Amino acid sequence: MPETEIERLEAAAGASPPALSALLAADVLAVHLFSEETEPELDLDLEGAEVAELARRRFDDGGHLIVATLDRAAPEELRAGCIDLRSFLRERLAGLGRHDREETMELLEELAAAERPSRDPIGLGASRALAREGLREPLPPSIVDRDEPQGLHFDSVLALSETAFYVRGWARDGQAEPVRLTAVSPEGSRVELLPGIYRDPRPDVDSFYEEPTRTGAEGTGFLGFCETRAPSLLSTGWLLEMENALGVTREVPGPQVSRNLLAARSAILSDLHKERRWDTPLMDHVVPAVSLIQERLEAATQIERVWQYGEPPEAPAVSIVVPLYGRIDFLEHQLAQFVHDPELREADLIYVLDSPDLAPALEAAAGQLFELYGVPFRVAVLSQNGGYSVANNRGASLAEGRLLLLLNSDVLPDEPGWLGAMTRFYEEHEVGVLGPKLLFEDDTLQHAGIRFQRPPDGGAWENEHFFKGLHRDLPAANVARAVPAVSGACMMISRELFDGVGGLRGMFVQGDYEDTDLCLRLRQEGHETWYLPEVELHHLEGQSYALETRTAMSRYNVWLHTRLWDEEIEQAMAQWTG
Amino acid sequence: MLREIRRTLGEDVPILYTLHEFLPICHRNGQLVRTTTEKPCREESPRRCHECFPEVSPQAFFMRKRFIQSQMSAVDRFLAPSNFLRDRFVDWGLPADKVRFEEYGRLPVTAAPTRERRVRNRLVFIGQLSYFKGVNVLLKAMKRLQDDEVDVHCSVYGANLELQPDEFRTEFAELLEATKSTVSFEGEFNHDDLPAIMADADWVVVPSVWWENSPLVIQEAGQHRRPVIASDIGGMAEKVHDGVSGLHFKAADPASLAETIERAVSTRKLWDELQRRIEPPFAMDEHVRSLSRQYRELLASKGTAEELVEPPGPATEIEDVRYA
Repeated sequence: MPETEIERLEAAAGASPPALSALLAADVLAVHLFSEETEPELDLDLEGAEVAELARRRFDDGGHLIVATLDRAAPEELRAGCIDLRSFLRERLAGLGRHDREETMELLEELAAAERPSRDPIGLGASRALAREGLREPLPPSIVDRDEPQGLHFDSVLALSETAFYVRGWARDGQAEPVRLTAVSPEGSRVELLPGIYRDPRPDVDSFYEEPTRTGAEGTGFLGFCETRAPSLLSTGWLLEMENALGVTREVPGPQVSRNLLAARSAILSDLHKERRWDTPLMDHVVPAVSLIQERLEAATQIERVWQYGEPPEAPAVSIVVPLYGRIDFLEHQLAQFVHDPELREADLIYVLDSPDLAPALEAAAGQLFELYGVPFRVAVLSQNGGYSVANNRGASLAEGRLLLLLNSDVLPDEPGWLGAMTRFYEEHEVGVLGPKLLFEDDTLQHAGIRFQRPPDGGAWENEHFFKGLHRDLPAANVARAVPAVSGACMMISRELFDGVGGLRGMFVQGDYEDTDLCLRLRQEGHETWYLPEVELHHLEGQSYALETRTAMSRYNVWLHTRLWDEEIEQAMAQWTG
Repeated sequence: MLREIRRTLGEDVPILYTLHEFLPICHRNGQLVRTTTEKPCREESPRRCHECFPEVSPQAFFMRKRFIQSQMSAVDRFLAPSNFLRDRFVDWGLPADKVRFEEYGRLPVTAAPTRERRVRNRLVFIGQLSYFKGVNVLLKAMKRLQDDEVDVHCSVYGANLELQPDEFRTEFAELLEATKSTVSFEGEFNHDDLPAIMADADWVVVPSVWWENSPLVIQEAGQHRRPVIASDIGGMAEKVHDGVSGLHFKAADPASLAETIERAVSTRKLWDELQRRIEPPFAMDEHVRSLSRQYRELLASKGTAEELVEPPGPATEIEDVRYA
């Protein structure tokens, strides 16, 4: 690579001119080069200085590369033996053979992938990007033209973490089948997309080219989840390389990286419209991507504050966890019913505010509501909106009771005594999960336990509520019995079992299927789910979310649920009906 | 609010609540008239309320009801000035043993004189000029009578026309214009003028198209011994006994009202017979005695009867109840 190109890159990266002190201060890479035949020793035991050797390599010409971090206190003689990375690239590495250059790249990636956290990961990334441009073998650029057999485009890179990405683009070749498709991070990490990447039809691209592509029936487009070995933090500089069976290569620059997790989640979930079945290979890409996003959102969602109203009950049997999302007025609606029931004063009532923007409004109201209704409760405010499972898990982490009751904020008890009835049944029958009868606002049955149903073609299992829409006193719905699952709108489970399976799983998106997933995980460990009809509550659902925003999520959730539980559900239903 | 009162008073103080209207039941200002058909509503439910207010979900109506009922549970006893209203609240969910019928008490007044007349053909309407009070039903009936050349006259007293929707005001103005030879519109009136207004009238017409509770105008007509021609629904049907102390017509039906008025003014001696059977309204003294008796009962049931105070002073100190 010509020096001017390196300088251009330096300018683009905003780096100062190569000065050792700058590199040292930035804790980037210090490169120690020895040209002697002998194995050099780097004295790391220097008083007052932090020096760490990260990697070393011996070159064919007998030189050694030692990559180390140095700080300002490193002694002069050591600094004198060092050379900054940019000079090193220019003066020493540019002339190396291809093999050495590739090995150097690998070495740099190895050290970046090492678990030792860098104090300046962006600086490290910028240095690696410089090295990549100094060492790599550029390929001929792809030109999108009807007469060019090769066509290549890198549409989008969604960053899901420092090492996980969701990429989209297209690659076609009218000459020979592409055998290699490589995404290259700005830092030089190489990710082979073939053969695992999901291919989708791109009629828009295909109609542009007159000759058919040689990519087979799989489709010209590609999209999917991929991971780099070392972190990639830079937003510009991705590349896409292609090589066909005849050895013809092309490359194109990639787009700016998008880092908004919620936007990425929407975009990835919307890809599911390309498929009709839960067992599509597309899910092999969407599931790890969305799961990772969910994990990161969950990790970022912590309890920020807890407000206690009234005297907490002593040694409560039950902790009731109620997420509040969007509608904080539901708090008063529940308290206005709980006030009639002495058992609710004995319970550990925990509201989890999953809409932190409403914290000031809730704080203003909650104290007055306690004064008015006299039912003690706590409010845990989350640091950000985390969704149904996270809110419940965070609330459960505060629980004092030996039993947990997960309760939606839009559930109102029909009459007092319900909590005691559930508690007694749960403890006398030693069940795993217990769910009550839930009613619609017109008093018809909404929930009398859940079973799973799938279309005859082996499509995804869907949750179906027993006797939905029928009369609340239907005799068949008035039998306490084991059921495949119950609704999370109101479910009781011992804290020990809940914690034992790690709580609700956050991989589902926004409040769907976590409940049956929990029941199935307990079932797997030998604990039954029961339905208790003598307890009746109204569930006034559907007031918090707009329906349209849920369709993409619902499709994902139902497919994921089947992907996780196909066999277990098959067994559960066979046993249940048999 | 009720719960705040309860919290302030403590558990030992009885709370009596007089139900004046249907606001707890009906989101339409307690009107109990469907927005869809403008017909009186016989039964509320989340679904039916949602039909009247599509922008409010059935779930929200369910929660509204449960919330209001929770607040009302802080009350020890409800007083309903009509059986109709009591039954509606019991149907809606108030415990039957908590809701008692208790008519509004009236301060004594001197009945307006009744002049000796051969024909009893002077009607009066006293009330809000609104759709629900049925004034246009009356004017439509008067139009028919005018067209049939029936010798009858009606005075219309009422206010708040400016608060009504344009559509109503236009119709009202058109009907007044069409009936100007038999109807005189007198506008707002001073309550002190009531005896004079009554003195000038033979019949009081109460043509409301909604249920009403216990219309004060019926009590006032009773005090001045004027038979009432009333809609055959709700509180009106309860307070006016058809063919005994007044006459019923089919609510919201101008033809039925016209036919009833014609019968009223043309049947000899009918007015005198009805007037004779008008029962005197419930006296304020009795009302106050009943209230203090009920407070004492409730105090006794709460075990705090010893702290009993004397019943309030003479009934005359209690302000008269004005038109709503």
